[in-house]
Amino acid sequence: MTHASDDASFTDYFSARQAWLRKVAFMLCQDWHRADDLLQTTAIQLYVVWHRADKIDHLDSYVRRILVNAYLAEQRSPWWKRVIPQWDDKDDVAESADLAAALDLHTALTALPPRQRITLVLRYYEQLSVQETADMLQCSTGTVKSQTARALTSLRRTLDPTDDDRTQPTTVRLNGPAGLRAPHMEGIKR
Amino acid sequence: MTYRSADLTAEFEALANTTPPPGTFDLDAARARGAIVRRRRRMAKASSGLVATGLAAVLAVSLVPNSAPSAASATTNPSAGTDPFASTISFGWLPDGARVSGGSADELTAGDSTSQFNLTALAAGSEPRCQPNGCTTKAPDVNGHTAYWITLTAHSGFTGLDWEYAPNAWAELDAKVGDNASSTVASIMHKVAENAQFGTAKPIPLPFHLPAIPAGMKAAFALWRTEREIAPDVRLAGNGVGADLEFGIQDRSTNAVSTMEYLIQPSGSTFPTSEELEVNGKQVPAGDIQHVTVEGRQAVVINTTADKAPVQELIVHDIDGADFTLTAVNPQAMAFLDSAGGIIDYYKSIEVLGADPNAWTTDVIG
Repeated sequence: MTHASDDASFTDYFSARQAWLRKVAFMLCQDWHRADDLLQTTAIQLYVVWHRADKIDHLDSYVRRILVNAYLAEQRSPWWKRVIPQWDDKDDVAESADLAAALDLHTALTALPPRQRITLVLRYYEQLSVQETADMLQCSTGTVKSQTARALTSLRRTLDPTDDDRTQPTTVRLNGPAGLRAPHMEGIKR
Repeated sequence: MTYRSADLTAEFEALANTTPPPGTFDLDAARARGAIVRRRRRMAKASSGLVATGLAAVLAVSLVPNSAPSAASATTNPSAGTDPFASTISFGWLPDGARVSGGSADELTAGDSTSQFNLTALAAGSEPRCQPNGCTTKAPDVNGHTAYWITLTAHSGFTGLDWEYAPNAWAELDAKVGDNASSTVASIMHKVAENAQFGTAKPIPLPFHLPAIPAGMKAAFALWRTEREIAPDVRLAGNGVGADLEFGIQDRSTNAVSTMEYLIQPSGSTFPTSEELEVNGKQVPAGDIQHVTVEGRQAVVINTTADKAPVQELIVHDIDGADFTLTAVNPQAMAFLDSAGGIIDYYKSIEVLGADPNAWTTDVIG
């Protein structure tokens, strides 16, 4: 590829996926400003290897891995340990159908350790299988299952403090809706 | 909310689909920064083979001050200095309110809440970024030197200016200057470029004084950032300014590079509990954490593994209003700390100057 077509193909690719990746980044960090920073880092890192993009299988999966790794790398910095995750644009969600529910879920997700949050986002937002999630996080399927169960239990406790059954896994479908694609991915060519 | 958990996917989608604030993502700026990183990697591979390492975000660039390619020796090379804590470029002028927030030997970032200026001096002999397609959009000369505008964007707000500040030596300036008209941006960028200074090492004030590099070793690189670049959009606990330094020292005989990270952040009122300590996003197992007192201050030593690699870290609470973290980034660094008597003894040889920039020093090492 020439330099110019390299740039054009990168721009086309990333522009088409920008909205999707921004939402995934937000789901990981629960902060739109940090999501934009993660998106920026992801774009930079992808551009660095873009000249060999045609040799990368499953490019969407690859860029999602860059995003997840960028998020994990960010967690390594103690800077973020003191950060109070913000939902500082409440006015912007005023038209949400269920603002209270969204804020509750936001709060509950924010309280999860990063790995558990990533696992839930990959499993239930990105609708990856257990095996795909394990591949993404470079861990065993057993770890994915246990992280998922712990995360769901924590969510359940946070969101429904009246629930007495604290030790049982939730009724969320742990195998996910096989074969379904998330609505936010529609129209994106993989 | 009554949580039934019957369809978590739908709830996640509803959360993700809440109306977001306007985005700040800038594809053209990302592309421009990616191009610089790509070019630097090529340069690093072509040089003496020092390890390339870096911070995760925009400053993820390796710097090898003492390893300029032979082609560079014929002309000015701003990276050829021997003090890794001195920048060989500087902004001679910036708009009111803009201040330097990060950099290295040959790259500086400055700005304020609405503006950003990235100034880079390419190694002598490097092609400007408008190559290989030809530099065609001529800009007014900068101090009599050839200059070109670089189109970074239709929608980014960043504009690029490249100029040959010395024979066969190019500088790059990327700038985003508020919402000004393009003519104003061009004028400001030209003034920044005309006043940029190259080749004269100017020491960088940092909140650390490090012990001298042991005999048989030399500085490999230094990357530093202040709070604005590390966390531009978040609230930090405490008062003051934080800073982050990643410093590599190289064994002259084996070429192994020990990379350590020195970080201060304004102290919060409480020290993180064991449950809050994470490395690479993973909670640190309780057995990997040792609570200690260092020079009368609360501290923890972490010896753990992350992504199958050993990690060692010391966090000391409230040194003149700042928490200090020392991290051995690679196994070579852990070996280096062992040779210095361990991470605590090495820490005791460091002077940490707190979160008030007025107390920082340009006498960083030795």
